[in-house]
Amino acid sequence: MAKHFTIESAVQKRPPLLQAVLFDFHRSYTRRLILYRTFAVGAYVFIVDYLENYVLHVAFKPPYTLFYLLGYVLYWLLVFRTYTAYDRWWKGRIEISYLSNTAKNFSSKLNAYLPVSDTENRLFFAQMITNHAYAMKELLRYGVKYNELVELKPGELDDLKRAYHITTEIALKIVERLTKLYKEGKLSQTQFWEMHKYTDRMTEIVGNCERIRTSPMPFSYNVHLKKFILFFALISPFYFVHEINHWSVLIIMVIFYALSGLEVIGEEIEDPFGQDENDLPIDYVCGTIKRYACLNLGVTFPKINKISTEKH
Amino acid sequence: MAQSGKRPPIWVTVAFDFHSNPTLRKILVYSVLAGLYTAFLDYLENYVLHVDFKPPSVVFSLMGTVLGLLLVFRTNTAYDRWWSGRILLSDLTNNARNFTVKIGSYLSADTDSELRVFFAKMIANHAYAMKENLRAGIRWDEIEEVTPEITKRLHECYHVPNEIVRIMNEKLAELYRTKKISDTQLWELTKHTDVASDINGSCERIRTSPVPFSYNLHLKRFIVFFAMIVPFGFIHELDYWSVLIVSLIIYALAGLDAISEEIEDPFGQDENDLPIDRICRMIRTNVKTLLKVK
Repeated sequence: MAKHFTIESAVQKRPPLLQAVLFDFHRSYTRRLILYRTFAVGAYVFIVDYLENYVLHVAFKPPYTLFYLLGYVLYWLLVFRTYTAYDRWWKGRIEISYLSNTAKNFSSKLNAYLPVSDTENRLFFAQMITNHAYAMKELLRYGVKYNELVELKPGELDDLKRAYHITTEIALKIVERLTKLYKEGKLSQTQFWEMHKYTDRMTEIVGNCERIRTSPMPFSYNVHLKKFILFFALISPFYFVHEINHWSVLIIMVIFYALSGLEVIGEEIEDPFGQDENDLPIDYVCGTIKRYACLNLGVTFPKINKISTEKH
Repeated sequence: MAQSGKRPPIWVTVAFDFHSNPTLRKILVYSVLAGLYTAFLDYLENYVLHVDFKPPSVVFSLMGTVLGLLLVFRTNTAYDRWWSGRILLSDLTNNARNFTVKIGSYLSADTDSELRVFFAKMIANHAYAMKENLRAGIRWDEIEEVTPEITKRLHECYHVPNEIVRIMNEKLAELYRTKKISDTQLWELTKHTDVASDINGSCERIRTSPVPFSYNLHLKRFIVFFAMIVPFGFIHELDYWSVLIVSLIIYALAGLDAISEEIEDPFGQDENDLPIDRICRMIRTNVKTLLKVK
């Protein structure tokens, strides 16, 4: 029996949770950043504690109510930060799964409408659906990696390299070919119409992902939140150093770890198309699209260049 | 599926059931561990060391508030997956019904009975294949044979629900070419094959995208930190009673997290998971009775 799809193969592998909770404070950039900030605050609290209790004795002690109130405002800013960031992440996830749904449906329909013998057109569409996904992936990062695109003949895609916006250029090529098939009578009016659903969808998904990628949380909120965290950290030792002395280092570090952590993770999650730990499995989805385009259209690409379909 | 009819009265469960499913057992273990830790700390502090570390209570209320944020977020996102999954399953039912109604009226029972059997079986097979693909892989005893060729194709393909949709699309195109269905009818029917495939893709998205790992880690770590510090707020004043208090606090906090973890993947067969087996059976019966196929 052939090898079937398993859902486990599509789930991102994660380290065991308990182990990560207890020991993994450093294995990703985000976690290191949270740790550094926490230690910086710890060091600051220690210095204040030492100065206040053993040298200066300023006796500045704001009431606990202030601590709670400032913490509460910070809490609301963090709620906002977390939900807007997560919203981008989840919307991005939905768009990417729509891209793969569209590719599956498009190739499935083309397979039904094109004659089995028409390898040329089948290969063309499989190639272009695949290229569209790979081009979009890198468009959302640092520019298209041309060696990831499928070429059927060497040098075939040279004109795409000069394109201003490569995914629309690919959409143009697809629609041109559909129009040609329509004029030749190989697609009926209804079928031609139906195919446009998918090409429209593909362009819309790119646009939506670009929107998510280019619209982080409004800058002023971001600055305000960071300012507030800084302010909160600067004033926090004064509530505690008189009463619990050095223990305040521990207490404030724990509280700050939680607050600053939320801020840092929010910032990372907000752009979900990169290659950080929490980013979306977009490389994997591109591999899936390539696989289904070929499977549904019943073609395999000739080996001209190498494409990484590695799973994360 | 939730066997609501067989459940004991809810207050009996509330009062006595701390162990009947893995999630409840997990919560109990965390809570007991926190209790033991508190007892240990209480003994050390009050009878041996006398460190006298007493954080002001405002610390716990702020920590509790932040923990609240994380738990609300965790609960909402987990529940959102569960509810979106539920909506997708009802979409699957609706789509199967609409598809069947159209097939039933476009293809006549007298002359096209073979085609009606084909669609009746394929629509239900798609639901069953999707269900088990979200779990451990296809159960072939649930897939009804249409023709030996189709069975062979399904056994040889990579992704069974996708192949089923592909075969249905091919069949619709063939009906269109042989003028059994018109342009508009083709347009109408292919809507439903698209939706079937979209639903499968969306369910796979829910199944494969838990809450971002960093949030999950951050929440659990914070619960651990909180549990380690919170006894200091009580042991000096309440002595051993603090064991009870801390266990209770951790029961509530760890409970929310453990339940979210379970809810987040709603396509399994846990107590709270969606009634997907029942929905598949219902789709098969519904489709077959509509098309009058045995």
